Amino acid sequence: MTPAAWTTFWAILITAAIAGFALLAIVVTIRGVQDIRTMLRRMKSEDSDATTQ
Amino acid sequence: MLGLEPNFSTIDWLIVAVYLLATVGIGMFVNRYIGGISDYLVAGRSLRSSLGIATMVGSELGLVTVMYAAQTGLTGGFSAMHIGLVACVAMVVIGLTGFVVVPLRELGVMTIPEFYGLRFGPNVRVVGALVLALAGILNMGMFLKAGALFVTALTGLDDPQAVNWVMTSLLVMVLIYTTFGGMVSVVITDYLQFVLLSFGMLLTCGLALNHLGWSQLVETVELVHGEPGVDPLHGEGFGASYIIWMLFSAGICSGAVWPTAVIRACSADSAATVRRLYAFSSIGFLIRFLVPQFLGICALAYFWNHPTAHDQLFTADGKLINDPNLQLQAMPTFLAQILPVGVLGIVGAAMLAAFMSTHDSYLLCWASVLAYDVASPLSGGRLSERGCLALTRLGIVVIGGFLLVWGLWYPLGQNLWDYMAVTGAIYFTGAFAVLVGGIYWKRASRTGAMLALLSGFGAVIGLKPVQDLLGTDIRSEMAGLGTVGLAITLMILGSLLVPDDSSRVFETSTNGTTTPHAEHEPS
Repeated sequence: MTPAAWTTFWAILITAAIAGFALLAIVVTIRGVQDIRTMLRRMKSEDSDATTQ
Repeated sequence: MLGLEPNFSTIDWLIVAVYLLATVGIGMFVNRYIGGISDYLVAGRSLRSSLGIATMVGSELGLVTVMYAAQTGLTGGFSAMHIGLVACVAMVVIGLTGFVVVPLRELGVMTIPEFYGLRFGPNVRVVGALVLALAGILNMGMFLKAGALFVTALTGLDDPQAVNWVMTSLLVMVLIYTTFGGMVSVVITDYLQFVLLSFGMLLTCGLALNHLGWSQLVETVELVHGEPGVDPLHGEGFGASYIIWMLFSAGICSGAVWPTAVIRACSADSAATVRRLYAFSSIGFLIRFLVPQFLGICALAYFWNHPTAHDQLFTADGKLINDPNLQLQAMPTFLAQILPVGVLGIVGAAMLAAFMSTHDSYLLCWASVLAYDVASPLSGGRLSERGCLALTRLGIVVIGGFLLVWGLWYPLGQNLWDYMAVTGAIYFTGAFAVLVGGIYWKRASRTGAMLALLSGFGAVIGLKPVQDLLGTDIRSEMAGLGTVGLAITLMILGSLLVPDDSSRVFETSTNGTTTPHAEHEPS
């Protein structure tokens, strides 16, 4: 590959990676809140199950 | 600060302080959810995909990663971006195949040495845990130094005493919430840090590119680095051997062998989540190198074209000054010049969040390995779950103290990334052979495993102070690849020459892996 081809390759990679990461960040930010609630609820219910047993 | 005064203001300090205090508060609040060792170490195995991705990226995209990746961008140009690319490819492959991580999750182990114990017996477990903890703690050794350089360059806080106090305070905050809340607080604070860091970094990239322009970046890289700055295969730059080393260390081992990543797989609620977690985290593994490297290249262009600061970073003939400390300061100094007040505070908080998110995961990981995989087996099962938890918490504090001392006196003398890869290699070169052999090869024996684990110490030859002591000059990738070859060879030879006795039985599952179901030692 020529230096010019490499430069184009890096430009495309940076653009694609940043766009992909922005999308991932938005999805994970929104769904992560729900996951935290589920995790804490699950741990609390397991804890109370153990206490009653 | 490379001769430049930063724009960091009182408003920025306020943003940083509010964020840090909120993080510690939340981290301590979740202490009420900790019921037992499983809750503490792997969050009760209740991690779902989105939260798993946030915590994995949050942990692996630490301040030290941002610093060393920016340094490689500065010193290697665009070519350095091959590191993120090969790491991304490796993570996708691990996600699709479930290589190592799915069998570990299916076995239900909480740490990698626990697998060693199940597969090879308690001696291998204890030795493996000691090697892992030693390499991991050494690997963390430069975190505080990198953090201090970042804070100095970004805020203009040039009094060494003040910087030491800031870094010590940050470490103490991490120690407090990790000691109390374990993996639950790590996961939740990692999530917050992921959100702040992701959007902070994306905003910073946009502002940096807007300030400099793409063509200026390309021109500067060509002027300073020439063709090796864009072509990673060029013989005068990184070259093929370095790329193979990165595929192994930053890719396969970071994802499938490095315990802070594997513990996320062990915390997942199912094997399907593990696969999804790895496939989607691949973008995070690409970004964690690529974005800081991009910012490192921006810093290169900024200083190259700066009328007064140029001479601080470049020699008279246009080469970068070979001083790791100066190179590490270039990116944060650049950010402190171009980012407006307020945004600088958000980015500062994001980066310090990244500093804390890596520390919490690493401290918990190494301390739990020492308590759960060294102290517990050595006590012959007499150590209770409560005792194990107390020991983990004590370990977190002791390791924190060690980091303060080591970070102050160790002379770096090389690229921070190479230090990280070499110290990590003490563990992962041997662990790779033991994990792959243990999971996929029925004839792998405990002698082979022990030899492979110990051979990892060969990687220290890649450290600059060790080379100076021995009067040698070996490239870090050659030291690393050589150690990998040695570990695999010893694993095979040791297993063939000294096989385990036939009473130890393993079942082969449908996916071709071997599963131990005998000799569960007490834990």
